[in-house]
Amino acid sequence: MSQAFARRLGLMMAMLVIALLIPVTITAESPPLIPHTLEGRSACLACHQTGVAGAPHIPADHAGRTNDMCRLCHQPAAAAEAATPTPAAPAPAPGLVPTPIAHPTSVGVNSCYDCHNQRGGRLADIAGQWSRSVHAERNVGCADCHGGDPSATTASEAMSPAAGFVGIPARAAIPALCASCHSDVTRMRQYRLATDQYAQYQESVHGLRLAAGDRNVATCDDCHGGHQVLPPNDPSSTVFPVNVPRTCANCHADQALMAPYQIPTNQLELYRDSVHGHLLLDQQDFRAPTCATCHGTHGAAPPGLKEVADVCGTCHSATQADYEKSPHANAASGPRCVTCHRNHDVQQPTDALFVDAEPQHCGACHDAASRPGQVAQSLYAALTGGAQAYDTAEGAIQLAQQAGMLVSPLEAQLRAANTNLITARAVQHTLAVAAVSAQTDNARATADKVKAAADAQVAESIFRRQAMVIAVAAIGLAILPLYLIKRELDRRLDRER
Amino acid sequence: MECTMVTRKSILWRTWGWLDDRYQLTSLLGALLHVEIPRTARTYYLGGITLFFFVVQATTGILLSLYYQPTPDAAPGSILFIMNQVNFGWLIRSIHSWSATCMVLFCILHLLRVFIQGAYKPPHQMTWVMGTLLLMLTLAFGFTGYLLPWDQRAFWATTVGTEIAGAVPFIGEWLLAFLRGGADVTAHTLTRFYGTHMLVLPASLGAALVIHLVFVHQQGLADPARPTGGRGEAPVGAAASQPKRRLLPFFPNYMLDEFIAWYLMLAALIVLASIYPAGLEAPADPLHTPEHIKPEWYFLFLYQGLKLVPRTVGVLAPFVGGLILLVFPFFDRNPHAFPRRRPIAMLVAALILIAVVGLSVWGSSS
Amino acid sequence: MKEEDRDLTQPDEQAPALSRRRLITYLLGFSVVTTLAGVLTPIIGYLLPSGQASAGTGEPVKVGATADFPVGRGKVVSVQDKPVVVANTAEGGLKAFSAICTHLGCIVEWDANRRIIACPCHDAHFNPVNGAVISGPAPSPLPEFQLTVQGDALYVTPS
Repeated sequence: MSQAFARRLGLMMAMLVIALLIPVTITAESPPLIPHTLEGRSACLACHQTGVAGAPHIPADHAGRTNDMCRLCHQPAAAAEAATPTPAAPAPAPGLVPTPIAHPTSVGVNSCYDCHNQRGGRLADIAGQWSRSVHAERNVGCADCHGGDPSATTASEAMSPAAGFVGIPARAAIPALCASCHSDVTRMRQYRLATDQYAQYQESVHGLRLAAGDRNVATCDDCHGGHQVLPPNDPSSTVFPVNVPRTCANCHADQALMAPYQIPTNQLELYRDSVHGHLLLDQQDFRAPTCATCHGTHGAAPPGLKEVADVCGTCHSATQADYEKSPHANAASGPRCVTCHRNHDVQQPTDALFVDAEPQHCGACHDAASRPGQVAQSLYAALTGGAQAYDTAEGAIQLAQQAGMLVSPLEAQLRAANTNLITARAVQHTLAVAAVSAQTDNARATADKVKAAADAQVAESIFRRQAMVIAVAAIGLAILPLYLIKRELDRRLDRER
Repeated sequence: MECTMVTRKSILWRTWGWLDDRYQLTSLLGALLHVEIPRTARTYYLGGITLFFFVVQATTGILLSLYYQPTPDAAPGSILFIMNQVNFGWLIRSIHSWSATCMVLFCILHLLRVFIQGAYKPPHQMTWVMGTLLLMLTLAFGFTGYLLPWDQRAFWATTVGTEIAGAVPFIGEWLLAFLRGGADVTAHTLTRFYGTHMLVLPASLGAALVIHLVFVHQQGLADPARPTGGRGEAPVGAAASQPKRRLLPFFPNYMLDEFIAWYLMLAALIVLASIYPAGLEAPADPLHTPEHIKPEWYFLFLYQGLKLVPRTVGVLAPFVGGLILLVFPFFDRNPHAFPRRRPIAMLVAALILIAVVGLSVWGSSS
Repeated sequence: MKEEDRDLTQPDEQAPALSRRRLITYLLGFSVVTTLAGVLTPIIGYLLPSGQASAGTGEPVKVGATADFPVGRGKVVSVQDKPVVVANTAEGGLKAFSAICTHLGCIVEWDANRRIIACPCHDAHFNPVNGAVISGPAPSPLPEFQLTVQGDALYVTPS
């Protein structure tokens, strides 16, 4: 039989013996009650074996017992459980934020850091992370979150409950713990930091789920880092704009994690290929939106269909203004930005959206013969007509340039047509054919004029080459008598000399 | 009508006679034109062709100067105006641009011809010195003229070119400021280059040209087929030991040949100007360096060479090379003129030529 | 002159040589005339002013009357094929800027409601006092042109 099984068997036998002995022993002396909460404290022996943090040593007759056996005899003190001794209370009433952890102050001394740094390994890593953080710069030390006495020189003194030591905070307690300072206006004013993060978080998907008991959602440290917290404008920060997609993807690209919520995990992939993703990740252009820009930061929630136009419109303001005038905006179940342009994998939209009945195309909802279908075709005709005229003019300029003509004045004139075209593409969101046609007609007129001028330049270059042929022929004719005279003279010279 | 034609000569003859009576033109021109040159001098057109291109440059240059405006704000616009609005402006400017290239090219070919035929040997050393000066003045023309359109190519090529001057040891900083009229290429540089291109260089080149031609006229052309040269030998001229059958009258025989060659060059210029008119890039932007800055083709070998050797060597090499080119006839002890009798000279020339051409081709493609 | 360019009325022994000589003479005359014409025609044509409007470069160009630009009014005008936006504001007075948006090259417009310079393509807003970007995707301000008032006319100096 396996070792584990043997252990379990032995365990069950021991439990039986002890259970029988309980009535005997209970009259003598009941096992001490557990005076602290059990959140994050399932490894009893970690403290009680060595007596760390003031924990009582296990008596000698407990030798050989393992962690899972403790709870059989030792019950939590009802008072301890009922009261909420730790400052990190799970989900307090909205609006109420606990006070910061009370602990002895120390100036210039941080024994937590010194000791943990010396111990090496993971402890030193964490200590190093904290030392690089913005908290370390502002003298927010270990004790401010974990409690304890940073001036004490022994572990038991430093990590004693009397000094307010909390240990690793419970996950559900972390937002409120951070908020104990970050929601304090008086405290945050000097750093010009907002104080509404906690209130927002509580209304977010993450916060609501946390309050409902879900331990798998993101808390403050999942996004900002636990110890290496850096301001958002620091390129090493996890919430630096370029790093935000990766930070969100730490959870949201994990299939195992997202499966219970049935949230897809391909958003980062889609985003990376999108126009926004290329701008942000490849060109480091901070004007491009990150996950947080559209979903919100602390109050993160996917924007509802009604809100999409407003979200996209924070940057694409002119397009939103146009869209609001269109029948699409007013229709209850009409398409929003994401309907045609998609959300995570936003691509450069093309004129192809006007044709066929594929998803996201006009034809997906509107029959070609219907009035909206006709409008779609008119818009398509106007836009492609204008674009074609522009391309033709550009091609003509290219030809003229290749023929050696100087075309900068023509290119300057064509710019006006480009302006009209781009404006037309923005105005198309109003679905007003007249407005779009006004722009494309202008574009076409300018493009046609430029094309005529470029063609004239090409014709001029052809004329020059024709004139060149005539000039060279004339020179040939001019050389002829000279050559004839020269031959005559040479012959005469040969005769004479 | 016929009666008058029998008794009076044509109007041209009478005009000539009127001038001749006063200024003895016939004897003056006779002294200049009635000289003999060696008959085997077929490659002798190269110098005359260079002169032709210079005359073309002078003519088209004067015409261009009537429309060109030498300030950074106005220069590119004035060039665009010449190209697009002025009648035949494109032709004048394109011919000016191509003729510059041709002038440098044929100057170098003329130099090579003179070297290979040993025509620089005594007593023609000073002619060679003047010729080398003419080449350097021509290159200076090219360098100063290149800046005048004040477009991106002109501005940055000049920046790079003058920067190289700044790398000369000891006097580099001063030289740079002298060339640029300041620390950077600015409007001061443009006016400085314009004044040099329009006034200083034409006067200098004109003077050097006259001296060069006087030397040639006084000494006569060196005969490539003469058996040996030598110090102290009498100048080879029509009146010298050459038999008459080996000689050719300069006027009218040689001049006719020369005119035919000039006509052909004019045809070439017209063809080049029509098919490949001169271009113009975006106006100069001192804040935006284009990706590929390259000097004009005749400086490419220097530009590429600088990438291969240490900076000081690369900067001093053209100065040292130019000096050697200028004075080596005085140190050439070999009395022979035939290429076969001068293997070392031919070898050195071949190596230098291959190096320069190779570097130029490499520089144009990199 | 050429040795054979004698008086043509002189009788010559060889009749074929005379006509050949005449041919060459005529050809020579033709070549001289053609050369002169071919060289002088472009030169004279070049020297004659072309009569085109955009003659001066670097000179101020008239863009309108001061009466056309009361406070709050702005317009895009063409200065030597280049678009220039001229605006009159209470804060900055009469100013002229390049009308080429620094984002993607569209031609900007004067927004009379908001009294700013705005680009219709992607909604970039520019300050009409100094050309700086107020909002939108434009990466840099609009370059300013020198604007002078002479009498009741406005002049913009292209550059």
